[in-house]
Amino acid sequence: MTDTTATIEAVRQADMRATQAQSASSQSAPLVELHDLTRTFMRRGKPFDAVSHVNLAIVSGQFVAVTGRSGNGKSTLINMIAGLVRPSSGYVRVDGHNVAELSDRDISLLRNQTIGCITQSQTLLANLTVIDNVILPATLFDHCAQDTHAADTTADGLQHRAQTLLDQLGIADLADSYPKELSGGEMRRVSIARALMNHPKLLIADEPTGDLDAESTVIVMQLLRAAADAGTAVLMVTHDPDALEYVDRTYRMDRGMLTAIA
Amino acid sequence: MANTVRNNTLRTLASRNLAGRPVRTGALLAVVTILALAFFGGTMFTMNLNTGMTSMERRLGADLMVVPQNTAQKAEALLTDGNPSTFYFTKDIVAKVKQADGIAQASEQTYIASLAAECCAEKLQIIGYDPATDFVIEPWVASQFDGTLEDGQMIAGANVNVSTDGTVELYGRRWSIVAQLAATGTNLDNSVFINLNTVPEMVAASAAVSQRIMPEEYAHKAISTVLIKVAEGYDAQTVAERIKDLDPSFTQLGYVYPGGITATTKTALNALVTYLAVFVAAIWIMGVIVLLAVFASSVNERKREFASLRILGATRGMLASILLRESASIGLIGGVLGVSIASLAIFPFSTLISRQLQLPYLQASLPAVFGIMILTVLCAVVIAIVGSVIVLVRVGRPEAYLVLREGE
Repeated sequence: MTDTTATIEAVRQADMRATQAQSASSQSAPLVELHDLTRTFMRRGKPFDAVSHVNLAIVSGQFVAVTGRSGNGKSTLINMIAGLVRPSSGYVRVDGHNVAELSDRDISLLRNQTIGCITQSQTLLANLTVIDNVILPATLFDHCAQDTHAADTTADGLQHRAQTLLDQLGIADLADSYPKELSGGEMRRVSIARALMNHPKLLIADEPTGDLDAESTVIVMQLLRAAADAGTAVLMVTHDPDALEYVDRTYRMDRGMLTAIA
Repeated sequence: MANTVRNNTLRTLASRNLAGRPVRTGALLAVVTILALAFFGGTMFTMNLNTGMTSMERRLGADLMVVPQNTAQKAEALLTDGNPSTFYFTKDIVAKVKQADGIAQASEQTYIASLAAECCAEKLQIIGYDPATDFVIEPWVASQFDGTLEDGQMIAGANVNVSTDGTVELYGRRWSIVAQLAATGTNLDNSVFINLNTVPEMVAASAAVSQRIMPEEYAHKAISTVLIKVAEGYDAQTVAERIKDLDPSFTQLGYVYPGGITATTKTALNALVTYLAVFVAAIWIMGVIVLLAVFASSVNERKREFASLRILGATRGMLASILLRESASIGLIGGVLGVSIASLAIFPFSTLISRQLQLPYLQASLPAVFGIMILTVLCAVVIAIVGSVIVLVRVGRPEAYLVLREGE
């Protein structure tokens, strides 16, 4: 199979998945719903919209990518969805909750149990080992999302799940290492394992393949695809054209405005 | 089970943060230790001086002491923390002095400085008193000895080394000790008390083994001081003038006003306590500034760390809990270290400090010491927590994600 044939095949598969996902979306309520979402910042004393009047709906099992040049509001958009940045106007609904109206505990609970975040920058805790970093989200609240997945919430159960995730990402041997001992790519994979730890309904990934080589990119994207296939809604911001092969739908963010790419 | 895992993780996170940043933790610990050391050391020192002062005031029940010519300073030193000394005049003077107006009670005492006795590293002050007329020693002795001090018996001060058979060797003779008194923080702790009838025995004993402490003819009539309690409506100075009026030669006698000595000592003590308070306050101000600086310097690092935790779903309460655990641990460990180091300096060297100061210095009671220890550790914990609040406020901003973007 030539490269061109392979690309065509990938696009065809993506189209098929998009059709299936659109079909699913018509059948179920969106897990994520953005309505007229705007975030205004001040730059040199003048207001500008980092995100401008964005509307978007993502259903469970859908894998959505947002592309666009740096500084066009992609990260601000996904961080408003995660409740990390408040909208100036419009609203974000995640799993039926208006994110801006939630109390600190409730938004924290939503972030912990419904959303998994893979951030662009390194956010592993330096004083915890890799395995403890991965387990950490599962230990913050007493009643974790595992309830719905009938997962083992004992210390051994959490350890086993974290080890399995590390294994799937090809970094099982790094479980007892500290973040400072890892490369950028390895840290990114640990972040992904941590984001998946609580079986999130929504996975938000900001440049998940940014520091990875081609082989690692495939591993990560296959894992995200598998998560989507298992029913997780995945929203990914990326500059990586290879990553787009795995998604159901692609949007472009330009000067804060979101447009679908056919 | 999940609850246990959760609690363990949060607790471990705080201790791992401390262990993972040894330089920052070490700097904070050092500052808190110094603060606790200064606070505990300064407070104990001040408290011991005040306890010594109070004790001295209680022991000096006389308003006026009449002593031989040129011996007033020796008598004052004997009341505070000076060297033992011997001085005397004769009993006939005492009888005359007692005739003056304004005297409610009068009792004589004889002071003899022993040679370096086998039992003690330093010389003992031997104080002969008259149990029949005494109003100074007896009330104090009464709490530990309710009998009558017989001839040849002794009552020992707190610092006197009494042998296991209950005796003290002086001038080659073993004297029976019937009671040992509580510490006063004054020279009286290095004294032994005998009744006046025992003084000649002591003089004879000294003559047998070494240089005679006073001529034999004075042994039965030597008196060092007349202690006077003035009558209602008189002050000590007026009574002193009345005594001088009795005989022109009495103007040459020494007149010591224990109340005045107390006031002088109090002034010296207050000055020392003030210097000490200023010193401790300066250390605390500098220490708190350093503490705040160390915490402030860690803000940016902590902002990123806490933003990461917020993204994982940690509430502001959880962040506060982690930070408070860290700062409380530093306060607790630093406080205990400070108290321990200060204790090593204060308690074993209490006697040496007392001697160097030449001021009444008496160890405060155990409950007071434990109280100050607890207070010091509490203060250390509170100051560490207050220092960390600066971090808490600055990392508690609502939009955690913006923190992660800083510097990108």
